[in-house]
Amino acid sequence: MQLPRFDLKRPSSFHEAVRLLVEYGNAAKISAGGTDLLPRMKYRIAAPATVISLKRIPVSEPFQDSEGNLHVHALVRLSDAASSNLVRTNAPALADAALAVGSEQIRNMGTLGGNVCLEPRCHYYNQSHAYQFMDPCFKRGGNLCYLVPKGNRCWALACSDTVPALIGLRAAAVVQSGDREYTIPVEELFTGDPVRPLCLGETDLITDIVVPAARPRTAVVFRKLSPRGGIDFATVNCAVMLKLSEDREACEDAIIAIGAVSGKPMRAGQAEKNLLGRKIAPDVIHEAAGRTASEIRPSMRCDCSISYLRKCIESLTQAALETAYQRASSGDGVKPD
Amino acid sequence: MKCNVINTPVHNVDGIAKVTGRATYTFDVTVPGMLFGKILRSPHPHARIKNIDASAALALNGVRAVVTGKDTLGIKQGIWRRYKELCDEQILPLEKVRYIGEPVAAVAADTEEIAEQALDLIEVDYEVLPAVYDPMEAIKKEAPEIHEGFERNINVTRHIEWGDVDDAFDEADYIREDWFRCSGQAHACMETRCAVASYTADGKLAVWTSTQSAYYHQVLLADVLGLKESDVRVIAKYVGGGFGGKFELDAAQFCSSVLSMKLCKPVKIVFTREEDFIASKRRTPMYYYVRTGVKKDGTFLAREARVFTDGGAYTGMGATALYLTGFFHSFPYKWRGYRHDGFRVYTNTLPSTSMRGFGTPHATYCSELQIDLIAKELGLDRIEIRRKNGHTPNYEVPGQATIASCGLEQCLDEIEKWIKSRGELPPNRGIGISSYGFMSGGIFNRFDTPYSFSSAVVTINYDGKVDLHVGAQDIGQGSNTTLAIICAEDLGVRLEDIRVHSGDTAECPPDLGAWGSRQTLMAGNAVKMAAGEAKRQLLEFAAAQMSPNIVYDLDIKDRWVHLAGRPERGLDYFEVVKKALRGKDGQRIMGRGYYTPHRKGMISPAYSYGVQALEIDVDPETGKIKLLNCVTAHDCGQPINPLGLTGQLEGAISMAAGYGFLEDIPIEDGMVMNPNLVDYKLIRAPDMPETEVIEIETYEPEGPFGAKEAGEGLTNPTAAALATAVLDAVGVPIKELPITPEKVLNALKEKKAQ
Ligand SMILES: Cc1cc2nc3c(=O)[nH]c(=O)nc-3n(C[C@H](O)[C@H](O)[C@H](O)COP(=O)(O)OP(=O)(O)OC[C@H]3O[C@@H](n4cnc5c(N)ncnc54)[C@H](O)[C@@H]3O)c2cc1C
Ligand code: SF4
Repeated sequence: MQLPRFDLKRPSSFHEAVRLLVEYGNAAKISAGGTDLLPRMKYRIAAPATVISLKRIPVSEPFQDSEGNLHVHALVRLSDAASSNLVRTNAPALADAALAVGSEQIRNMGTLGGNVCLEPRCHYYNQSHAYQFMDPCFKRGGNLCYLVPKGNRCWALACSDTVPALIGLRAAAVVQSGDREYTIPVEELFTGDPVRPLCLGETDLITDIVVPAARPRTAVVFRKLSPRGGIDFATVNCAVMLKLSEDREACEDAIIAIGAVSGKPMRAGQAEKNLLGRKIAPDVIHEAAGRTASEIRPSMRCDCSISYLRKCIESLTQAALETAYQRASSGDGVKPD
Repeated sequence: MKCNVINTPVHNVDGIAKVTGRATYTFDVTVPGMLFGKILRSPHPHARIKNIDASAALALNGVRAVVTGKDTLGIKQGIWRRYKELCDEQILPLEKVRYIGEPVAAVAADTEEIAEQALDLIEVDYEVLPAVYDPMEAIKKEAPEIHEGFERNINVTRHIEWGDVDDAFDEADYIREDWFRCSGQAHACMETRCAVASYTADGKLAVWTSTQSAYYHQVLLADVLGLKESDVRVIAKYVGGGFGGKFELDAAQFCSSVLSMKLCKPVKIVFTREEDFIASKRRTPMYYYVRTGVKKDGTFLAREARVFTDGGAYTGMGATALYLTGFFHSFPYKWRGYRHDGFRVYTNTLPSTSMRGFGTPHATYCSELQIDLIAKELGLDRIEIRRKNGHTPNYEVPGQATIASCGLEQCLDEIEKWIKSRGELPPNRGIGISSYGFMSGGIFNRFDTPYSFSSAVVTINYDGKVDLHVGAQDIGQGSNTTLAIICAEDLGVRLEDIRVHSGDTAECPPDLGAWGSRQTLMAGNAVKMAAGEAKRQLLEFAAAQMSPNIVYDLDIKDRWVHLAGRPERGLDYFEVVKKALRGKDGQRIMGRGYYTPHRKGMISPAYSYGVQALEIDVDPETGKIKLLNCVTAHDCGQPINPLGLTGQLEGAISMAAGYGFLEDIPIEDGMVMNPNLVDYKLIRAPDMPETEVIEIETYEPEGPFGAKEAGEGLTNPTAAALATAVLDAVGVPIKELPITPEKVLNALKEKKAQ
């Protein structure tokens, strides 16, 4: 299948890119690594008249500022993020999540910013509509949904692997908006509506991801479940953050973020709250995983049932919590006190 | 027998061309003046074509022609040429479309892009008809009629029976019945269906295409285009995979030919991956009912099975798949009474056809899982029950087949040893086993060829180098290498002395091609005969030169022409050739060989056997299966190329394990849910188990140098071994393929509830 025709613009700075976005408006699309955009263009579910490629924008190496915050450029390739020593030591969950994306080839092209902004996915949507599923569904601007025919909204899934990890790390995105720059927690980037998934303005671009300095007795762990070893989008993914008290027994802070099961990554707020102040033990972890599974509401999908997803969420959360507890209590993977 | 070339591991003779990117696949073919074709496909699963208006498309700059069914002879074609009622497919249909993605028109244009644009401009007026997607629905009285005159949409029925089945059931101490469901599978060849057709003013058509049998396509194209066979030349030097999906006429071949004949210009059509998934053919999905009666001690008495196969919209190779699943469901065991009833049912889905294993992976999965359930129920050892009932050398399957060589028992011994060596397994770990067998070359001549099944020509040149012409088709499985080895061995030269010519009907003799695991045995025999004939001519001359005592016979080994009993007395092969040619008035030495099976039963002249053990780990929380070790004891007679065998084994495991737990083609209202390589789950390297092959050498009298098949049959056991491994690991039988994590979890939940 051929790509449709388009005009290619290659700005050399985010400023210029934003200016082009303002100029071309809706008819333009951003391509960072292009691994998400180009397949959609081949399927004709995206047909921008202009593609603004960010390839020419210089990419800076990840660096740590004086307060220990880790800055990762939005255009860093996932393979570089995964292998960066700085990322590996300060935010291992991010490195693990980056390494869990797609295959070697995808990671060599795909960028961190593109992964954060990954379009939500659905079997009916992410394919060619040349001779089947031809009538446009909500996500293609139409008025129907193939997955839930009686429904009145879209249920496509936010599948990014790095986003739950970034939520677990309490990372923020630096956004270029016109001449202005602002910072927004990654968690707040998402609307929950798969048709318009991002809270960003139409001409806003993410320039950097900032991961706050690692805290003592804290571990963030990423886990992914997928049918095969590599290339698959997650059936479920999950990141948990666990901070222990000074005596390394009780939970002082917790995040449980679940991705790939709904229109935006979800937090298990009740389960997190329930962990606070409690002494971590196998039954407490088990309870938290169980609570997470009953609290998260996976969307309908066509390749497995909701009850199966709940089992997977429980199992994945449990495994992630166990590892996080191990690491936080041993000091492994976090900066020493 | 002591061999010089056979059984030495060698790389494929075309390996260098392939890994250096010099091999020209159809994808790579360009011909001067070539146009690009695209196919307009039906968006409806079942509809009457009322009108096609291509005027707007024809008006588009760069569009050269649009063809529809009206531009064709309208011949209903099929590969079962002997049976007209099974020739049911017009590739550009005149009246009705019967599945989503069925071709309705084809465009040729200056570029692929223009051709694609033109598709949007063709107006087709359809009258949409009610459709049906599942064979169990399609077989009902009230179901819509898909093909006229096929009652209850039954396309083919097959009855296989021997012994007194009811009597045997009466004697059984234990009878078990189960329903199974087997999914479809995509061939997912690296090279999608494609063709370049070039019709010239002299009335001749050349077609480069990706095919498993150049000869088949020569004949099929001649039939539907109204040409003489010899005016059609099919060229397929390199083929990017077939797996059973590339020997029926496909829309790339047909539409490019029709367009080329209309324009007198070359036209290239390459299917997109989506077209390959949605609108080609697939492995036949099946519903299986199996009833088995045994004695307390595990002796098999009777089996009765009924299968309903999802035929999709057309016959394809489905009739053979139906027969073979019926026959191989008995395999590799002895039954006092056996009855198999098969029903192939049309549905409004993409047609199903042959795919590596040809109905046998399904049959083996249902059979082996049920045998394990029986052994469990009766408290019998699972190896023992297989040994007790397994085929043995010289066994006769009543009225069907005579087995000559059979190494099943040795295979069972080896696998038993390996399982023992694994010792006590941790929880949720299990080892599954599956016995299997397969044909070495199908005997059925559904195609009605008047030629030998296989032919070969061996030509010895002045420099002693040998040209081997075969009609056998190398589709990546390495048949050219296998046949070159056989030729070199028989002639007494080295592998590098042989140059193989294949995949061109203009220069190679006819041969039925690469299907039914037939080439090693059938083309191998033809090559051996041709080489033997050439060698005899050479030895006649050598004898005249050496004038040995008449009691000696001569032989050639490693380029040394010598007295068989006194190898030190001989001549250099190259020298003999040079002189012999002069002595023959300059004529090259040429030997011809052919093979057609006669009096070899209904199915095949020989059968391969094997037993596979698969060790897996099941995650009881998520139901996920991890493949750990896969050991296969395989009897392929005399192995020809051990490296090729390993390649075939690993390829087979990846494909068959994928069938067992990953691959599926879910269809919703006639639409394929996963027509891309992200959502269609082919197995990947990290998912592969460690593999090992234990070669059980037997000697097959019917095979060249005692060889049998070693490629397709290896696809038969793995889904079964996976199912029996899950049973062993966590105690639940999964009776529906693929064995997804969710099915495992549900079964575990059910077991707990009991
Ligand atoms: C075979 C295959 C497997 C895959 N597997 C996975 C997987 O396992 N996990 C996973 O998460 N993803 C997967 N992906 C999706 C995709 O490859 C990755 O998410 C990748 O990180 C996307 O990055 P990119 O730079 O290539 O994105 P692009 O395609 O360049 O962009 C993606 C989207 O983000 C927007 N965008 C890009 N950069 C910015 C920015 N700086 N600011 C604002 N918007 C921006 C673009 O406009 C576009 O809409 C897979 C893709 C393929 C083809
Ligand atoms: S969930 Fe429904 S609306 Fe959304 S992409 Fe899938 S089919 Fe379209």
